[in-house]
Amino acid sequence: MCEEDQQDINRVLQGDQAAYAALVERYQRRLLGWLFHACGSRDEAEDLAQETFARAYRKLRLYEGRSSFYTWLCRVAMNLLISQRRRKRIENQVGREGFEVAMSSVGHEQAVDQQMERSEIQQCVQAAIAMLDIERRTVILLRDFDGMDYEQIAETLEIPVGTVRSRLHRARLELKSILEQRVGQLGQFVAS
Amino acid sequence: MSQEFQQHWLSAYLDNELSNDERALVERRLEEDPEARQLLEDLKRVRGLVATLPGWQGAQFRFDMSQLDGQADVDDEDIDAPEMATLSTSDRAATATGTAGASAAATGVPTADTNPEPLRAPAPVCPLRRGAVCCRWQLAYCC
Repeated sequence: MCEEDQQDINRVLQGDQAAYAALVERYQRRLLGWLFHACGSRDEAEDLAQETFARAYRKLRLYEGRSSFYTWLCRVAMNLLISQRRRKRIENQVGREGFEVAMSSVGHEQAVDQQMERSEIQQCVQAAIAMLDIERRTVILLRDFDGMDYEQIAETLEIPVGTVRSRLHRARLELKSILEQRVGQLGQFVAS
Repeated sequence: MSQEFQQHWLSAYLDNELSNDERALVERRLEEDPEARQLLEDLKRVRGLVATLPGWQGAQFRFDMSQLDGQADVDDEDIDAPEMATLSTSDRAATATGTAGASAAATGVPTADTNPEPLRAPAPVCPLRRGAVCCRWQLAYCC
């Protein structure tokens, strides 16, 4: 575990609330990155990040340092994300609507989210990811976007490494299939 | 060793997450099977496409430190428990027998409900209700 993290955590546990700001600052962009793609919404991602950091703070004494602080933080975020999705029960609708909106915007001047200045390819990929169920979406984002290894993903999602392997493979196959259906041969995509 | 090639190993092969034996089996399959080689190429492209998605570019995010009122590790009742409003029969049974959240207890991570099938909640309880801190979801029965 990162020594800097441990020092900050110790300070927080001794009552230094300001030390928590350093932990937030260290991980907020990374956390928000995959949360944004998992939620498909900046506002939702920010709300989840807020709640994740708040909940992690309240439960900091339970963190035992067996995994990295970031992995533990992601596990808190995942629990909140899944809970939120099930509460709203609109996952599929959002995913499909999101995809249609994104696909229809390709080739037009209006982007789905102008602030993000995404390329057309990125929009297609984001929209395709939104069509995956939440389990496949998160596993592929944690691996291919965030860069976690399988062990870290297993800790985050609280599943065996073998399940990470198979779930990730199915997620990639499904994403490939969606992209092929919509855009033709996958080889037409040129990763920028 | 009597293992047989499994297709999902191709993804793990890409990610360098296979044992030596598994990797050898994959490489043998790739030599013999053009479809496996094509699939590996496709998986590589998919991985590359996801990797090039934009990172977080919202400069305005600021964590609201006022949410941290009080001490860390405030141990309120039920804050980690699955929400009864969304618990399935099996989850509720597990809760009743004390098995729900066992992994959370082991890992120290607050859990969410893990089953998608809902039951009507006899008495909804806000998962965030804790002292004077108001739930941001503004649920009707909350706070």
